[in-house]
Amino acid sequence: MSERHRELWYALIAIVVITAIYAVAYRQAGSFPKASGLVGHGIGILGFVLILMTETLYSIRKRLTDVKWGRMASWLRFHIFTGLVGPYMVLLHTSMRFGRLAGVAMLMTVVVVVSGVVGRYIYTRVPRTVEDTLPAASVVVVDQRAQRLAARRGALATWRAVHVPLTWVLIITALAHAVAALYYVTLAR
Amino acid sequence: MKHPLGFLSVSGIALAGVAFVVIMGWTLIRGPVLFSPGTLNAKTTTQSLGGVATHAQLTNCGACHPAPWSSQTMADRCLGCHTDVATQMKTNSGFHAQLAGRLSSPTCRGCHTEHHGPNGRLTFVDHSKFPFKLTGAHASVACNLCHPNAVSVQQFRSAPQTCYGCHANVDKHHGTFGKSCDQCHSTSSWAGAKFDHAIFPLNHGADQQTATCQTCHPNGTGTYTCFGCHFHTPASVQSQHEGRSASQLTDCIRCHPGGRQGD
Repeated sequence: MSERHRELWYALIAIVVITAIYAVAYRQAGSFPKASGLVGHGIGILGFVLILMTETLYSIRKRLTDVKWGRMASWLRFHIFTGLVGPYMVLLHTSMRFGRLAGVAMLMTVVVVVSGVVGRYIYTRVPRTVEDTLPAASVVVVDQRAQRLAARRGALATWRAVHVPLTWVLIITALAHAVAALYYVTLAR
Repeated sequence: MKHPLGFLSVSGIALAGVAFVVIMGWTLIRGPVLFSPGTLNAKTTTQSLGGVATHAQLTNCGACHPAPWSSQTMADRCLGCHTDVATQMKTNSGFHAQLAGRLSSPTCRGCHTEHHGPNGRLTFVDHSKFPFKLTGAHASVACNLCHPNAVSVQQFRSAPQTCYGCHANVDKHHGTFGKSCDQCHSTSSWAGAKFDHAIFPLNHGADQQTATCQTCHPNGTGTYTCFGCHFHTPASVQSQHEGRSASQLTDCIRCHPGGRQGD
């Protein structure tokens, strides 16, 4: 297992296990398990909790500079893990029906995941400092590297300015869907 | 704040507000249709119930969905329009009253659900709770195919439970293979039948003469006989089996499953 992409392997294992559980439920139901059933509902709620964790935990840890709760790299891995597994669980929750607001929430989930993958790519291309690269040969080379570094940091800031609002739209849409589902289905007598 | 949380950016919270206003605005102007999981059934009835001829004509979600804190339930809303069922429940007569008496917590939506499109089914019964399990192609046929005009529990229970009970008129074998269709066919499809002649070797005697189905099954595959081949005559078999009754001597496979003398 590649150390560099360990979180992707963990996510793949989790997705395989979840798929196996879902397949059993599919076999028993003879169709996609209902979104309001035990498996469909449970997988949707857990998936949404993972998405909320994805949005908040890494961000909070980044700001907790005085407290050393785990390495930042580990939190980023967990962020990527929950950011892949959570949306997959939400996808299974849909019973492959993508109507109206619930469909919009699922669409936003896909958009945010794609945006996250793009962000991950930009992030890995951004060195922390000019000295992170090979030893400088001349002032000109250092200057060129500094320019590239600034450009990539700018790209990361632009990406963040898009990714975070998109995530908020997803959260609000999903919450509206959850409140409506509670009102019309779960609490209905 | 020196280090604001990344997810609490101004643009993020602003767009969250925009999303909230759009959803609420849409709901206020167009009604809560945004939350509907699918369109309503468009099947029309001959008489108007509750002012509409079909569920699809309903535009107010509250017509069926009372608020969770309301004293009314969804079943109350159903019975408000479906007065024939309400009468059955009040007079404790008819199919729905019979059914309600047998269920621990009867509700309309236990069997009837909506939002499955204009041609979607309205009745979903968990048939796995009944003795006759719906497997394969049985799972997708209309209820009234097996329960035509059934309006009482007794009539529902009287549905045939054998293959031949329903499929006798489509038996391509005209009864020659018996009535136990499931020996060769599955409920998934008539095609892909597996003819398993494991009871007796199919190639028995094939090296000496051509055997057809009729050789051993002259009166259909429900019965067989060994008489008529080789030296198998009632008299010769009787002479070889002193002390056996005539009825035992017609069921050769019972003692000779391999078709040979030593088996």
